[in-house]
Order: sequence, then C-alpha cells, then structure tokens
Amino acid sequence: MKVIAMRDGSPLVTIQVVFGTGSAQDPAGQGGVAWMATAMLASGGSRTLTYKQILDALFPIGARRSFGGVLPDVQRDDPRSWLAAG
Amino acid sequence: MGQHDVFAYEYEQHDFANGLRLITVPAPYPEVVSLYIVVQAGSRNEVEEGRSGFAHFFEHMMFRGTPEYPPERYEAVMQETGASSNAYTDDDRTVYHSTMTKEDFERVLAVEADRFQNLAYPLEGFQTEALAVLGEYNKDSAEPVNKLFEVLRDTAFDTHTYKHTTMGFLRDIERMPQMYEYSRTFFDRFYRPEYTTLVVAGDVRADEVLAQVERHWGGWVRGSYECMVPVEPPPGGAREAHIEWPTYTLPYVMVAQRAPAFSDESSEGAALDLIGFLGFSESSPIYERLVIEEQSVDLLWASNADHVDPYLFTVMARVKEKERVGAVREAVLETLCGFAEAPVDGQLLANVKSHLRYRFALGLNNSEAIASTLAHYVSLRRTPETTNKLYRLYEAVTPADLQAVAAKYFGEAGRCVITLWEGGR
Amino acid sequence: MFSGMILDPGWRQDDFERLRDDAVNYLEVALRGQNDEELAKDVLCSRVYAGHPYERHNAGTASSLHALTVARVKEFYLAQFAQENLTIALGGGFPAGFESRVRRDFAVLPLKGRNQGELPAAPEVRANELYLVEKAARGVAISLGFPIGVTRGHADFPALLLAASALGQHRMSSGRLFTRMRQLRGLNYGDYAYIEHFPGGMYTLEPLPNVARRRQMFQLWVRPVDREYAHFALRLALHELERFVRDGLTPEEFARTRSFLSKYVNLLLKTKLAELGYAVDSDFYGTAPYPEYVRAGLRELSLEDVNAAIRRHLRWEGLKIVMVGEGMTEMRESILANRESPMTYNSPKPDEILAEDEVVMRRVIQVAPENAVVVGVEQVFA
Repeated sequence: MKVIAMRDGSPLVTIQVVFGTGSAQDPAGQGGVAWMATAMLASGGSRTLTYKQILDALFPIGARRSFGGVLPDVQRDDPRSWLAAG
Repeated sequence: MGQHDVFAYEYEQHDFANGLRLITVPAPYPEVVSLYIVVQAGSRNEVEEGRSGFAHFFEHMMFRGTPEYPPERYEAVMQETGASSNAYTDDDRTVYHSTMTKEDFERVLAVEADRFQNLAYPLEGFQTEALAVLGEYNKDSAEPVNKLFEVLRDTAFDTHTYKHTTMGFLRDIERMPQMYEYSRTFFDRFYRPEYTTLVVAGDVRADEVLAQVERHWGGWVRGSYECMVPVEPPPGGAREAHIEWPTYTLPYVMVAQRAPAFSDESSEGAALDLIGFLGFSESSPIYERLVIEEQSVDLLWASNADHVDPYLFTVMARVKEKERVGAVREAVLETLCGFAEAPVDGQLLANVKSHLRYRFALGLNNSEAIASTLAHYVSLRRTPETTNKLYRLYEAVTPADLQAVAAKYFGEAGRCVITLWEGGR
Repeated sequence: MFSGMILDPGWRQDDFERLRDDAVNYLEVALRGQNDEELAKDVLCSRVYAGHPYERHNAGTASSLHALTVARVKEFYLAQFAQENLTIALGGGFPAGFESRVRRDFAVLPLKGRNQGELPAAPEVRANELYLVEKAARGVAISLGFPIGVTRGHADFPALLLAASALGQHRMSSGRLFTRMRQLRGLNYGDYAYIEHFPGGMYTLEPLPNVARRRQMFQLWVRPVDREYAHFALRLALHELERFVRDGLTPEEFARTRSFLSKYVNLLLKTKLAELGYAVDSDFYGTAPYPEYVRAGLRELSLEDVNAAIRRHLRWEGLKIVMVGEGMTEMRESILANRESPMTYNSPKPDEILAEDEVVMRRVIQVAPENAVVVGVEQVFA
C-alpha cells in the first residue's frame, strides 16, 4: 500500500483510491470482469448498506462520487470530495 | 460557509462609460487567471426567419481574424501565452473563455479586445467556417438526445426563439454560406459593450485589472440595437411528438412542462429547481423504483434550466424496453402531479437545499470554476449577487410553495411529451 | 461508509444485474449506437493491440458480460484488489491521524494479489490496415495510429509531447492538422494528434489524469467528415503526417509550441482531485511531478532533438486506420483502388491549397485487400 498525502488548509477532503489492476487482467472468457468489479464497489451496496442507503447518505452533503473507470492497467475507484467535519 | 451568501468570494463590479461591465474576483489560487467574456446574445436573439443557429455560427467567426491579428497571428499569440481557450454558445449567451498564467493576462486581454472591436474576415473564410459548423452538426447528430431536444423545442414553442436549438435548424445551417452580409449586421448589433460583461477570476488585483480593461476595452463604442424577442402565447393544450431513430438505441421519453423565466426575485423558479431534485435525483423515490428496484430505466434526470424567458421544466428517462415506455411516462407524470397533491416531507426538502448549497460551494474550487459559474449567472442578471439572492430563495421555499408551483405549472395545458425509439429505417 | 464500499462490498445480485445492464448498454447504446467518434477510437485501440491484452475493450463484450456472474466478479476482486497494488492519495484539510486510520482500514485487504505477469510489448504493425465499421450516420469518423515505445519517463517523451502538440493539440485551434483541415478547408469540426491514450476526448477540453497505461500509441483523431470527402480527408491527414515526419517543425513552430506547453502544464492541476490524479500518475510512471517533469524536459530540447525524435518514433506507413460511417463497402473499394478523390469548395481557395489538393486527391494508400475489412456495427464488441 502506498499513500500519497498532500495536506493543506482547505476545508475539503479529497481521496483517490487506485488499484494497479485492470482489464488487462481479465481472465480468458471473462472480458469486463474488472469493469464490473469496480462498478460493484463504486455503484453498488456494501455488506451493511444497500446502494439506496449509500445514495441517501451522500446526497445531503453534496459529496461527489465518481466511478473513475477501468483501464487496462489501473482502476480508479471513487475519487471524491466532501467537506471535512465541522 | 455563511448561511446567506453562497458566493463566498469578495468581488469588484465596475461599469465603464461605454456600457461594458467588469467583474473581478481575486481568488486564493496562485499564478492562474481565468477570463470569461460573456455576450448576452445567444440563439434566443435569432429573431429573424431563417437565421437559426447564427449566434453559434458567429462564435466560430470570432476566430477568423482582424486586420492586426489575422487568424494565424491570433493563434500564434494565444499559443505563446499557453492559454487554454475556447468558446461556447447557448440559448441566452455566447461565452469566450481563456485560462492562463498571470503574466500573460494583459496580452490575452489585449488580443481579445482587438477581435471584439475590429473583427474583419473575408467572404472565403466565412464560407469555409460555415462548413465547419455543418461538421459540428454532423458529429452531434449521432446522439439521440440532441434530436429529442430539437423536436421538443419545435413542438413546445410556436413563436419564441427557444423553438430552435442553439445549433439551429439543419435547413438554416445549410444556407449559412449565403449569409455573409447578415453576419456583419449580427456583429454590429450584439458585439457591443452594453451586451458584454468581462469576468476575471484568479491571482489578480482588482484595481490593476480595472486599469488594464480600461486601456484595451475603454474605447469600444456602444451600440443601439434592442432585440425584440417574440413572446410565446400561453400554452393551449398538451402536445406530443414521436421520433423514429434510424440506428440502435434504447427508447427515450421526455416530459416537459412550460416553466417561468429565471428569477432571483420570485421563488417559483427556485421551487421548480428543488422539485427537480426531490422528484428525480438519485435520492428520489422514483429513481429507487425505476432504476434500482424495477431496473426498467437506466438514465433519469430532470432539469429546470435557467433561461432569460420562460422555458421548460424537463424530465428525461431512458427505458430498457419499449413496452415499458408508457408505464415510465405515467410514473413521471404521477410524480409531477404528486407535488401538487400533497406537501413533501420537510426533512427531504432540507436535504435538497443542503445538497444544492454544498454542490455550489464544492464546485467553486478553482479560478476557472469561479469564472465559468459566474458567466452563467452574469448572462442572466449581470452580477454575482444574483447567486446569493437565488440561494436565499431556495432557503425560503416551503412545502406549501412547492405544492403551489406544481399546481400552477404541471397541468396538462403546458405539457409536451416526446418519445424516441428505433425504427423507420 | 467510504471504506465499507471498497473493503466490504455487498455483492448483491440485483446490484450486479443493474450494473451489468449499464455495462452492456454502455457498449451497445452509448458507444455503438450514439458515439461514432469514441467507437472509432476504441476500435482503433483494439486493432492496434490485436493479440495483446489491450485488444479487449475495458468493458469486455456484450456476450462476455452476459456470461459473467457475481461469483466471478467477487473472485476477481479477491485476487486483484490487494495492498501491493494499491495507491491512496489524500488531499485537502484532513485531520491529524487520518492517514494512519486510512492505512489501518485498508490493511484488511490481502497483502498480495494474483501474479499479474509481464505485460507483453505491443505487437508490431508493419502494413497498413483498414478497418471499416458500417453504420448509418451523417458523417464518417476517422481514427488512425500505431504503437509507440515511448511513455512518460522515456527520454523522448518531452520531445514527442511537443511534437504532438504542434501537430494537433487536443481541442485547440493552433495545431497543424486543425489549421490545414478545418481552418483552411472546412472539412470538419477538428483534427488532433496524441501520444498517449486519451479516452472521452469529446467531453473534455484538456487532458485528464488517471488514464495511465504501460503501453502507449500514437494516434490522429479526424472528427466526422462528410462521406463524400472522407477519402480525401484521410489522404490529407496522411499527407500532413508525412510532411510532419519528413520535414519536422519549423523553428518558429518549435518556439511557439515550447512556450505554450511550458505554461499550459501549469493549468492542468486545477482542482485537488486533478492534483492527486497527476501525483498518482507520476508515481505510476516514476517521474517527477508532471508540470516540473514536462517543463524541465522542454527546457533542454532543441529543434533538432524534436525533429529527430519525430523521425525515430513516428511514421506515415504501417498504420491501423479505422472509419465509422455509412457506405463502407464503397469506401473500401475506393481506397483499395486508390481512386481519385477530388475536393470541391463553396468558396474560392488560394492557389497553394488547390495545388496541394491536386497532389492529395491522388495520394496512394497501400492496403492489401486482405487487410481491408468491413464489419457491421452490431459485430463490434458483441
């Protein structure tokens, strides 16, 4: 795990999570599996919350969630910004 | 963030003697300056028959040179500055924008001033550019949503210029090469200081910007044209149209209701904005039902797009099966009418207000974003203050206001429904 | 909640079905149905990397998506989403202790993932190939290119970045292709050149971070051209490419473009998200922070360096050429027979242009019939 921390005085917090894997790793006959894995994380529910519950929780704070997409070598999950607590 | 002023930056607003307005926002982002030149003329101003699409075409012509800066020289200067620049046109505005490092700001300001005052292009350049516009229409034509809007406007409006899209009717685009004389008239009418506002945001001092703008833009001569845009008569009943799309697509349904003009005084528009989110955002009940549970729809949005004159509140859904289009259309209409029938939950309304406030503030995270956001509002009311007024209106909207505005605007009389699916090959 | 989404996914069947529909519709509706230009680019990528892992579309194919199951997706996640290939970038005003909390949270992932193996080099492209996608459309979208051995960090990267900018900086009106094809001839809406993968070009005015790749290609993007002039436009693009590679940049073009890029790179890190994205990319390629990396590289360049790099890495033969539009069987015949493709204008043109057109309309494009394929759009990523 590598963490790149670029802290400043802004009231926002931005996080980007990138996995060094992608569609180039799709096993034979499973084209799109990397894409679907990322989609399930970014636009699906977690074990404890349904997708609807996640959408409802993020909505009032205007948090932006974007499914950065899948490339052959990297998958960018969920870059997002929100206002820090307070 | 203050409860009341959603636009949190200090700014200076200055009117020059010729009618030009300058808005300067010194922003805490170092080295970079963003310049947005907002002309309050867009496809709304295409009032004469056969001239649809002209404002957009004219935006292209602004890159066709002046005596001092022919196109090659203009490009060379802009390239040397490293500016990222482009332009866009829509219904109510034409916007020319550049973002650059601060040491090049005055140079860019000067070449921009030159083309706004001294544009002069030959017939040949004009006719060649008309082809590039047709190329733009061609590239956009693969997208059904563009066609949906084209037909929606044509169906919903009778006399107002919102009847046509910014791109214009194809028949008019094809005739553009013959409109050279008219292009000079268009420039003479609208490319005038009283139609124009400069928005400057970034690593600048307001007094310095003021002096620079005076130097390069102060001699620009005021015009006299007043554009009389035809008033659309009140809606006379529901309208419908259907589009057969020649290539593979999922079906679409678009439901539009006539809606009031943008206002920072009356809360009707603000209430409709809120309904757009309450009714159709990712957090709405209909989204949960159609997209997440039934999974009969894969795209859903609503928009009460700000316009100078009364426009449309639009809902669009992309439906996975043609057989479901009718049911989706009914669900959209039920949702709209539901806002008139019962008051919404106060907490849900508070969530939407919160969402809008955060989204606005989060979006203003760099100089270009500040200038581009202001460019939108400046073309409606010519001052950043309008954003603060609008967000105060949002705060004040009550569930009863939503009910009243839904009852007033979501009736059958002002409705227009457009469907599109594959067929007719 | 955020870490829950990534570290403890729900793997619900209904989420899976909704997202699989989205993926299939992305391929069948958004791409094949509605975006001829992105389709041409994605097909080009697939053709350039034929036989290579990059050949596959990132979203797979409609049929491979239909064959997937939640279990397969979960299996991929468990095998690939490991600490060893994880990079987390944090920006803004996060509280003290936040970084260690994030580290702790993500430590639940397995340390190592499945061995990814070596990514092969791109296959060599020797002969021209024509891949024509038949689809009802008002214009013809054209993309063409070939693999290059240069990625960020390579000694020639700054020189090629400058070269591509001079030939066709994305969405700017300054490039040679834009000037010669659109500005002077009105052929289409724009024409650009790239030395790096550049997805979603129609939605962004500037290059975006987070699209890093271990292998890169050179490509030209010719925006939709009237069918009648598509053969001419292809010839003109190749004519310009040949002239560019043979003669290189002029001293004046070199100076202007270097000035442009040295400043332009400072504008790219506009938002915190972009800043993080570029930091992650620089880490991926092992370079200094992007703006410094580019500026330092440009500072040391001479015109001769750039022109030599162009000759080393670029070419005008041995191309994969993709066209999407109507009438592709006829287009194939026209190109194979090297039929003349005269250009006509709606206004008088300077003699220089007319003389050049005389040459361009007869330009020979060598394609063997077996390397010229027409496919129906419904067969693409099917």
